[in-house]
Amino acid sequence: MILAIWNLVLQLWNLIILTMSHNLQHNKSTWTRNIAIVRELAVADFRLKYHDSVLGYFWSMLNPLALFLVYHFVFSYLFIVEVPKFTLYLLSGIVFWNFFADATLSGMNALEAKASLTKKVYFPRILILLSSTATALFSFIINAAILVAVVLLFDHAALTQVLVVVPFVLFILLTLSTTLVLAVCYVYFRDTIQIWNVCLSVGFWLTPVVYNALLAPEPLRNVAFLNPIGRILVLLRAYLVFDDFPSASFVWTTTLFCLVVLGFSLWLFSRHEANIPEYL
Amino acid sequence: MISIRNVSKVFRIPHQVTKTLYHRLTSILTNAYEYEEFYALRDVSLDVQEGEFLGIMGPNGSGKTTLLRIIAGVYRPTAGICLVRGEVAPLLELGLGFQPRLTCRDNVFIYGALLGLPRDEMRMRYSEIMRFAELERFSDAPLDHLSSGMKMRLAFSVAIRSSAPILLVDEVLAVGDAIFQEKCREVFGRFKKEGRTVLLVSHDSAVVEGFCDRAVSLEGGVLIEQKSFRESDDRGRDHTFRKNDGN
Repeated sequence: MILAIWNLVLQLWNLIILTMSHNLQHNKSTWTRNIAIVRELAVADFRLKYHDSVLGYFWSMLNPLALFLVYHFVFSYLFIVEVPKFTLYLLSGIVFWNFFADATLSGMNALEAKASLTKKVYFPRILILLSSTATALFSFIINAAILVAVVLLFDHAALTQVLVVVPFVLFILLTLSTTLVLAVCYVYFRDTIQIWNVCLSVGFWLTPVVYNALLAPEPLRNVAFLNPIGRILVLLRAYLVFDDFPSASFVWTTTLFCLVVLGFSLWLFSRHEANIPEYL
Repeated sequence: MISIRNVSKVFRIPHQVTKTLYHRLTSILTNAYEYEEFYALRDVSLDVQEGEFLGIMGPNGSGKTTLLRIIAGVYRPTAGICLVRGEVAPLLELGLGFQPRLTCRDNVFIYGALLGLPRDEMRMRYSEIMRFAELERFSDAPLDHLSSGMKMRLAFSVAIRSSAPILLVDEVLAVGDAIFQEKCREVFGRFKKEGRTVLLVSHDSAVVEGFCDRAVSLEGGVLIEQKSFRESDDRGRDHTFRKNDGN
């Protein structure tokens, strides 16, 4: 006990002495360096994932495309769901959900792949997750561009569709926050990936990706509306497909929730960042 | 440049590995939640002046690499403080972050970014780097196709481009053939002329004596010995001293 207090006093003393004799400089060069690291890591991930070719992107699109076709067949011919403009409804849901699943899982995989790197060089560890998210973001942006093009060409075009930027940004922030929280869990619990895979399978049906939340039975309906991804999907479809506008409070609460989650995840990550090289 | 005060680093060695949530839950049930503490470094204090070449010696597991990792900012000390003024380039391992499936060119840029080399400079110096490594013909070959010696040459050619004032070098000289070691020697000579601060970890006391102004020895995480090789620039750190914690 006394030893611990003494150690504390000693540390405080050292801190005072040393900070007085040195002035730590956080210069601009660290920023440019960090940006360079994100870019190089993202480019490397990208080349490895897509084999540096357009064909590689098509392979990554195959999974959501197959999912889309299967669900489209099942829910248009086998179990008919009552959703207006079902094709666009389903396509938007799949594109968004696919990014969420892809980004969160690849974040944990990137952490595993870069484990030895974190033990050798110091750079802000969040860069690993930012670059893995950026890689997933690449196919998301192309898929989303295809979605928007399909809507504009085959459905309708209106000026208010510009508002889709809101759900897009919110969704990217929410995905990044989830990735950060999962990354922290992964550092301590290596089976987070398996657990998360189960959560994703269940979450897919708790989110109105393929069904209409309004027509769902009571408990599921509430879950679908409380679910932040579900809310963002409601916003997206309202602005892009249905041209109707959710209440301002709906938009605000969703935005606020995403920002709070982002703040929490950044706080959590920064608290545990220093443990990454030791525990990983 | 570097001030280390009473730094200790404790690692926990669990009696049972609990790296998964499943293990953690079962270990709560069986109450097997014990661990041992292992002091990798114990109350180490050290100052390194600007432009100094410091050798760090000691047997395996004596805490040399842990000390470098604390200076590099990778590990946070359990107790004590480590302050570093100036940018640090950790050459802890040659070829850090190399991706075997990517080309040499890609790898040079990844490694450069990790070492904090500006991209524009890397672009300008790229051909020079490849020439120094004598690997110009392999620019677009996957790194996998290179021999281990070639990979090391490539990594070394990038690493020495670092402009950081503080360099942490871990056993780089131990690997490589005579020609490679000769190149290392030349580069260290250049670093010395440029007034860089270098921390060099090595088993080889001949290497340390050849390059360093001063050397410290670690044993069991305790700094046991400091000795100076250069009489001229001694400023109060001339004598060999022993420090013992009774361990």
